[in-house]
Amino acid sequence: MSFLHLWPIYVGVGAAALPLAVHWLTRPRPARLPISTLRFVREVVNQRRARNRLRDFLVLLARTAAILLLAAAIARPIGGERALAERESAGSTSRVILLDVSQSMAAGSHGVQNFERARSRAAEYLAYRPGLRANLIQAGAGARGVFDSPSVNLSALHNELAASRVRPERLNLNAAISAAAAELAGTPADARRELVVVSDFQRSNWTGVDFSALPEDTHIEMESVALADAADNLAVLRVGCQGRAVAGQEVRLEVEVGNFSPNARPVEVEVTLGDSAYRLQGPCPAQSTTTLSQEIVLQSVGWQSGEARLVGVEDQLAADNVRSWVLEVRPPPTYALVTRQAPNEAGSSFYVERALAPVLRPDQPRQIRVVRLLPSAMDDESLAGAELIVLDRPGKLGAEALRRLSNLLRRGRALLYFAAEPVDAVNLQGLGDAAGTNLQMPVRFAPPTVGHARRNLFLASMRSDQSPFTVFGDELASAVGSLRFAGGLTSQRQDGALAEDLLASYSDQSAAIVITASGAGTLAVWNVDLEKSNLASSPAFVPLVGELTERLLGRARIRAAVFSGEPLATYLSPEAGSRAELTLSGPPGVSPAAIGELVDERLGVLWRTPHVGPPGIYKALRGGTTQFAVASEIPPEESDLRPLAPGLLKGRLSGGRPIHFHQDAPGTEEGGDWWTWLVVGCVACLLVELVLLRGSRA
Amino acid sequence: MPATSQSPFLDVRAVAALAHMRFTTRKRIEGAYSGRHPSRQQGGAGEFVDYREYTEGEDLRRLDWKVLARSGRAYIRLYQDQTNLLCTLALDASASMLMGAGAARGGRKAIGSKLEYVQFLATALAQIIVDGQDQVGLALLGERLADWLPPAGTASHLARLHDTIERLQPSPTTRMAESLRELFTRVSRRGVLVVVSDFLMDDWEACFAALRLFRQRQWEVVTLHVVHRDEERLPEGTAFRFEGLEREGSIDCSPAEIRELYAARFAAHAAAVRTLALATGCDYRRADVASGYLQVVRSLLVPRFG
Repeated sequence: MSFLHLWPIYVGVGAAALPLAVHWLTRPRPARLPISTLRFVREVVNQRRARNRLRDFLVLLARTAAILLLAAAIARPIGGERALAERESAGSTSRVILLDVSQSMAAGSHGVQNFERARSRAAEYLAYRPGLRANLIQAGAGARGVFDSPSVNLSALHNELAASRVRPERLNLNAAISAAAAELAGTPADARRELVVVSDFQRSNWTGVDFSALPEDTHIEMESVALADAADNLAVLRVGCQGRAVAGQEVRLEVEVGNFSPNARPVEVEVTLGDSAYRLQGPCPAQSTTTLSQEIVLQSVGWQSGEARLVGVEDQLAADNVRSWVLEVRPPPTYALVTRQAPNEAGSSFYVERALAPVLRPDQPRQIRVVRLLPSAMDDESLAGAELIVLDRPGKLGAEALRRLSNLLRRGRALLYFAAEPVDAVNLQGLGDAAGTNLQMPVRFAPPTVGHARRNLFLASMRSDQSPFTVFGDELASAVGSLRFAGGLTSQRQDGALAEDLLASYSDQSAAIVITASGAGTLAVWNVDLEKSNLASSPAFVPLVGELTERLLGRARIRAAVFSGEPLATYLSPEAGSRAELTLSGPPGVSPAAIGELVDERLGVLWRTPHVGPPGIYKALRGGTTQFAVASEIPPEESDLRPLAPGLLKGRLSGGRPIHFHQDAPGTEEGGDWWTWLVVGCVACLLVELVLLRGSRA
Repeated sequence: MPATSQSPFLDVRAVAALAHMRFTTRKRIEGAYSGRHPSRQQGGAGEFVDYREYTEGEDLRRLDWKVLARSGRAYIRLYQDQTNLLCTLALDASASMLMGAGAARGGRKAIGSKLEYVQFLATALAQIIVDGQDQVGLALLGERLADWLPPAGTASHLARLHDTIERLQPSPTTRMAESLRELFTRVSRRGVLVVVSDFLMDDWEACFAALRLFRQRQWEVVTLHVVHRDEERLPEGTAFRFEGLEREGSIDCSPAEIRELYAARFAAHAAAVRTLALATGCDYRRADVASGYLQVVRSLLVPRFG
């Protein structure tokens, strides 16, 4: 056991003699009195002496114990084993202090942030002593050391520690451990290596910690500043719309709220977007997340920004009660259908065109426009406005067309290929070659062998939990059971590809539907000859096509949110055009480096920055009009304030290394309740004394 | 008889107020001379009291010849002899008798002490006894029989006795039982023994064993148990260093802690003394210093009629 403060111990030991001194100094001076009955007095005194001596001893003991207990309580005992990183140890020592500056450290109670306590704890380890070399690493999304290696300039570390602040970032623990390991590895062999980690030890961050990078003889000291009481935090974890936001169409606004408190709570979220405001309400179970949703209709087209804010919430971490978000509201989509077939020809493209833009009600015009293109007429200009490129019986595509399709795919376009003819296998092979390593399809399509007709096939296996099959729910078997397929291509599994990309297979083990990501876009291949199969005439055709296109377009959405402090590298949407006249802007007060820069690349305009700035909206503007926007956010895992169990950290995650864990939150350190019990013991001693004195008088 | 004593302990007026009373005993006594107290001997002198049938061997001088002549039966005439009283005052001369309200340091006589009380009491009692034509003796009981004045009734003897009482010095240690035994060997005639003591010696039970010797020789023993008020209960105060008067050392204590227990202990001692005195056949009287010595003297006297 050790004590937080030592001076009360010294004072207490000195004061322990106080009862004796007081007793000696204040003892009554007896008056001399001759008496003839001294033997009676002596008899009586002897009779009571045994009891009185015991009483006096107990009273003295109680008084002394009361003083010592009070001194010990003031000294704040700290139980548990001795710290591995001895602050008073002599000799050469290299000490790296890893200070958690992630967003969760801003949590606190009673107006005191965890980070403030962490700062004071870290400062104790920077106290001067001969032979001590130290460095301070501020661990957030990145690891920022004050020096390149441990230094004796402790005053500079103190200044840096005083200037450190919580950053709206997540803790990249492995990067911090690696940085600390590199510094400790460079220290002299005879020096004692110490790693002091001052953190709140969030469960979400520390579960995957790996100390293997540290030198074997490193002494690890864990200083936890996690709050003692149960974490009580509500947070807006995600804001967005399900699917594409199309002007004039209903879209589902979704807000994911996390309740990291021990009690279920009703939550109310106010969401703003542009000039509109929405209010979502609902219950949120304890220790879980819930998604609040509302159907909204957005009228104006373009990038819009806003924020979601929890209403009437006061919790331990206020920063995550607000989350900025951006949304691109697009005009009704346009699909490009590339086919050799004539528009009025009753071929497969006829069915595809109508499945892509179905007529929901006879009195309503189609909201999706399908532009038919001949493969020869396929150029950048004709494809620029198409969000989805559908190829059905395109015939043999040239290398230029395949490269164009590959580039569009990489930049985020969605591609749906109905493979029906043998030449489609050549086109897919050429597309794969053009995309290079960016496109790794799970199967390789090939023309059917001669004499081996593909017919009377049916869907043998499907990923029923994924789109597009989820549209049928429990009716999937009956919906697709009557489908019979013929024609198409054979397929062969490719090694090293993702098997999950194969969504459905036919009864002859050939692939039916394959979806593969390539760059920012997605390629879907539907191996079916609509003219020889009964799929086109089936009621399942339109829903399957609709779901598949939704999935492709959803995947093709450009990432509209990034996490603060982390690298950003995203291509602007093709509609943003070239870099010329594009300017970047961010929240007020953010440095240009945090906003980043635009770079022209072969695939488009790249927006990049090594560290995204604080939460807010970052925009690419041209002439005052937003061409592209991203929202910098606090990582959702920072909202879960539950700490990792010390036993887990010291046991399973330590990898056999000696780790000392110390919790600094008031009342939570090992033996943290001892001071309370010491005070109780002090009061008990005083009560015992009173009882003894009162009993002796009775 | 004119009082020749100049003792400061003799209050002549107070003694004169008790002149109509006399010191007497419940039983017949054995005196040296003719006096006013019934003698144990019923000889030929004195007042006729009764007849008794003659038994062989009796003194024929006391035979009533006239009755023998008339009735032919032999009777002895009985006469009650009157004799004087032989009283011995045995005074406790232990240092514990210095217990009193005032200081008792350097062996100086203390005002209000038990010793002073005993001196007043013994002086008055001796004066009254001598005034009653009786004889009084004095024995000072200390380490040994410190002083011994055989009973006498002369004025010079009384003056000497008063002087002895006046000069009485307490003995640091007391062996009262031995002193009584020594006294027992010195006395020749039976009489009255008045023992005045606080019975605060270690051998107080042995004292009564010695007194039992006197009782066996038909002495009448009167025990005057002198008790001081400060002995019955401890004084008020925070702390005292109690110092023994008989070289017993000292002890520090807080009276408040033991007051009740002490009072019970002293009361038990007083009760034990009384019980043992009565069991020995002694007359027991408690003499509280606070109540005044004349009251005790009066309780020992009976009114003298005629």
